[in-house]
Amino acid sequence: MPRGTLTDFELMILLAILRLGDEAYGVPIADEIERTGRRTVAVAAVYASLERLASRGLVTSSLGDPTPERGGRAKRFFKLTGKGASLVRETYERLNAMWRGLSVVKGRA
Amino acid sequence: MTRTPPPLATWILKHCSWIDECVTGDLIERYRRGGCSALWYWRQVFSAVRHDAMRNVRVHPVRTGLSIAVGLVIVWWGANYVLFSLLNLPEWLFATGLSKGLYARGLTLPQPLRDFPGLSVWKALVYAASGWVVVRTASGARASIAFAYVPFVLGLNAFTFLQYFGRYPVAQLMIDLLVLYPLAALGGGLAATRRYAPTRGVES
Repeated sequence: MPRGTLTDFELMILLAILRLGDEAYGVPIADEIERTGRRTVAVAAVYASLERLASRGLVTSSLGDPTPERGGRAKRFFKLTGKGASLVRETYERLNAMWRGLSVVKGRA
Repeated sequence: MTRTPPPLATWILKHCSWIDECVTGDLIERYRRGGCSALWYWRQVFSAVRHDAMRNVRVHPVRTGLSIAVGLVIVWWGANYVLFSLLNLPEWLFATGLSKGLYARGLTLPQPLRDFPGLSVWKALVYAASGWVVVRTASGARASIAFAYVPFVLGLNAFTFLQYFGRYPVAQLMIDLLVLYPLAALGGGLAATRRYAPTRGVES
């Protein structure tokens, strides 16, 4: 995968983080992808991708406080960096340009 | 009432370093919220273990490969040569002329301990020892390495299965080579794992 591009799964994760705002951690991200993106995901797969995105400087994370309903474990919250947000925008524009003018988009194919 | 996720699955998660804090907490939270079965939890755990193993291979390819190779050498050499030499030590000492006393006095292991089913137990211990060595020599002593080792054991045993096919009952070969020994290797590997201390309040 070239450094300046995203897989569809990575894009979904970044969009889910944007949609969730301050509540973006593993479970809600996976739920958001399943509900809105209509794709079944494993929580570990989300973390594996998030780790790759973090190593590329596209997201940052911080640990919250441990909670009893999580067996005393902390949540790891994720946020997009400026670089991550620009790449999401760029990807949107790139995909939009590719779709533009295609009749199949409007169901006329 | 609070639902408790399968304890063994949670134990496995706790012994995968990268996974411990974040994924374990998320899975427990989601399981307790309801709507998820124990099967769902196990599938999530295996997915986490698979990702951890892949990550370990990516980060430490040589060390992981060497650990698995050492484990397979222990199995091959230990279960086929060393074990037989030890179980038949008096005969071996007699045949090599090193010491004829033990065999001459009839001090040999009883047949059931040298043959099926005793032999299966001894071999299972060799497999368990190989799993233990693989996990301890791999980077981080993770549960995922123990799971990653099992397909290699199965591959080696499939070869052995073909070698012994027709010489031993098929059911015995299948139970020993494809079920008991891989499980022993996994058990030995899991016994060697270390629990990782959770990290708190760290920014990345």
